[in-house]
Amino acid sequence: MRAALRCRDLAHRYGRDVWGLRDCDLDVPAGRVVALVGPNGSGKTTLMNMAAGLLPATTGSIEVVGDTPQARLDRIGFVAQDAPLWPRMRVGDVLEIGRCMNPRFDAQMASDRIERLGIRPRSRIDALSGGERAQVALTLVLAKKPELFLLDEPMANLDPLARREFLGSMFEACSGTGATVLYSSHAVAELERACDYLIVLRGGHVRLVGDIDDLRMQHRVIRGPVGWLDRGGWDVVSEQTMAGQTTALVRRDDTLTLGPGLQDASPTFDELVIGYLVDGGTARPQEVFA
Amino acid sequence: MIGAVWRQHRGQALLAVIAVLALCLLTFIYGLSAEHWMTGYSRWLGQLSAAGCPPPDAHSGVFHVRSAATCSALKDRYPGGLQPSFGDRFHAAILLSQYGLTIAFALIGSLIGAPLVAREIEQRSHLAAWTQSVSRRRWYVTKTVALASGLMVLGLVAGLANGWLQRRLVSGDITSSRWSWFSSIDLALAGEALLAFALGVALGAFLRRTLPALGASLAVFTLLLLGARWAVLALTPTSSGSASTAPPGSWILDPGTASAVAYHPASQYAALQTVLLLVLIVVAGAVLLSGWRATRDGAV
Repeated sequence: MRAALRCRDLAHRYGRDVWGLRDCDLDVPAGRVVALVGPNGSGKTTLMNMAAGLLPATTGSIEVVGDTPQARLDRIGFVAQDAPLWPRMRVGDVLEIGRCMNPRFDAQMASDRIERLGIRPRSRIDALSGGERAQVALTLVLAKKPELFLLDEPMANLDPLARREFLGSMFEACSGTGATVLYSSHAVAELERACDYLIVLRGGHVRLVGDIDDLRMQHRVIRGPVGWLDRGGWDVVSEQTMAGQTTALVRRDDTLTLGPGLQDASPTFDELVIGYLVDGGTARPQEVFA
Repeated sequence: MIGAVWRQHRGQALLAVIAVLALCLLTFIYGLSAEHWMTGYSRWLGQLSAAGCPPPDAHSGVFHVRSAATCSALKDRYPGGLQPSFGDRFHAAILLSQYGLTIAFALIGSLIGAPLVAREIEQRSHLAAWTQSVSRRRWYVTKTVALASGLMVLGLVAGLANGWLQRRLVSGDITSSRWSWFSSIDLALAGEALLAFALGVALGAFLRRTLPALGASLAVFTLLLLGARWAVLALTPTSSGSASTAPPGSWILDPGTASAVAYHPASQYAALQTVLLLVLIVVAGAVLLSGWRATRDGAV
């Protein structure tokens, strides 16, 4: 299996002592749609920027489609947070720039897509709505025919309706190419339908990584009266107590039996992600699952 | 890649070409006007001598004045004679020719250079520009080389136009020397446009903001140009001789004593200006290189 993105002991330090990302080991298999989830400042953008060749690794190594990001720029489709483009430029000129700067650029596909979306090529970028600008940025990237899409919250400033619209067309367009998609967001729910692979970052560390179905298999959500956790030998990821009930996300362990009054269920995507995002529990930073 | 540069900078390029053509037109108009003025002046001299009046620069002598009234009427047309009345009439042209074009190219170069990296970072479009299939180095090299070449061509055109104007202006006897135009005609403007552009690019990459980079590059440009000009004129080999034997049109650096002065003869003008251009190119190249370092190493 060829890894679309491979990180070994990767770290990036901003200035003297601010670590954007530390001890990052990842192997993202090719062809997956990956949700990269984490709170603000967790290292999502740092990882994205490093994968896009914009930031150097302070230590460790990062490989995209088998080589360094700088050597693989033509295989990477990067859309940064809020999809920035040249505000004073016309849409047609932006696509023309794409054609001039990318040898495999599909100019026909790009102009067709813009037309289908109802965006006028004569419009200036700063006259477009946020959703339209994100679409132009996505079109620029799609026409490049990348093997790895790096989409760093391209719709952070869109309204919910525009988000839904954009998300649908984005995943349809990206996954139609058979390429790997790495999509970062802290809005969890909208990722569930589209993604089949999950990376959770927290405080610059990788907390969880793997196929979503596998991860749901490997965890349980157990609920019971306060205090049940003290009896168990459960490996707790996180716990929450509310109205006399303690709910915990634990690592599945078939050797342990459920005590009386305990209910258990397979975690939903949300429970899994939130469980690894919140503080607490006995969980250590996780080793790689996949 | 060159097509992308054109798409992004054609507006700027068009404005710069219009500005430079307007300046060239202005030098052309001033030059024709100076020629016209000189024709009028010679005709006036002819009229003076036909009427037997003393020429404007005569302090004493014997003249066969035919009509005192005619002489006093003619005399007031060019008060003070050639130099004062020409200087008065072409004051603005001389300022434009000696300083104006240098200032204009400092501005044009900085205005195009400062946003090159800084504006991209300000509007975050560098994230799009640097993640196309072209490496950041090639992006930087193509952009700077293409824009710098264009600016140098414009500088050369303006320098030649200004050289043409300068020859018309010195006919007005305001100075016997081209050295006052050393850094504003012929090759000089091309080097200055390049230096201002390079400073704008590099300071923009360091400061990451366009406006501060613009101000800083104009300030540093002034210092570097004065320094380069001084170095080229003062540190190159000079001729020496007595003040009276220095050929006309020489530039006397160091008045020394009357018997021994250091000077550049007029014949060295072109060579020294070439040296100035080369010095400006080398300095600008070093500045652009440090601008690349800042572009490569700066956080995104």
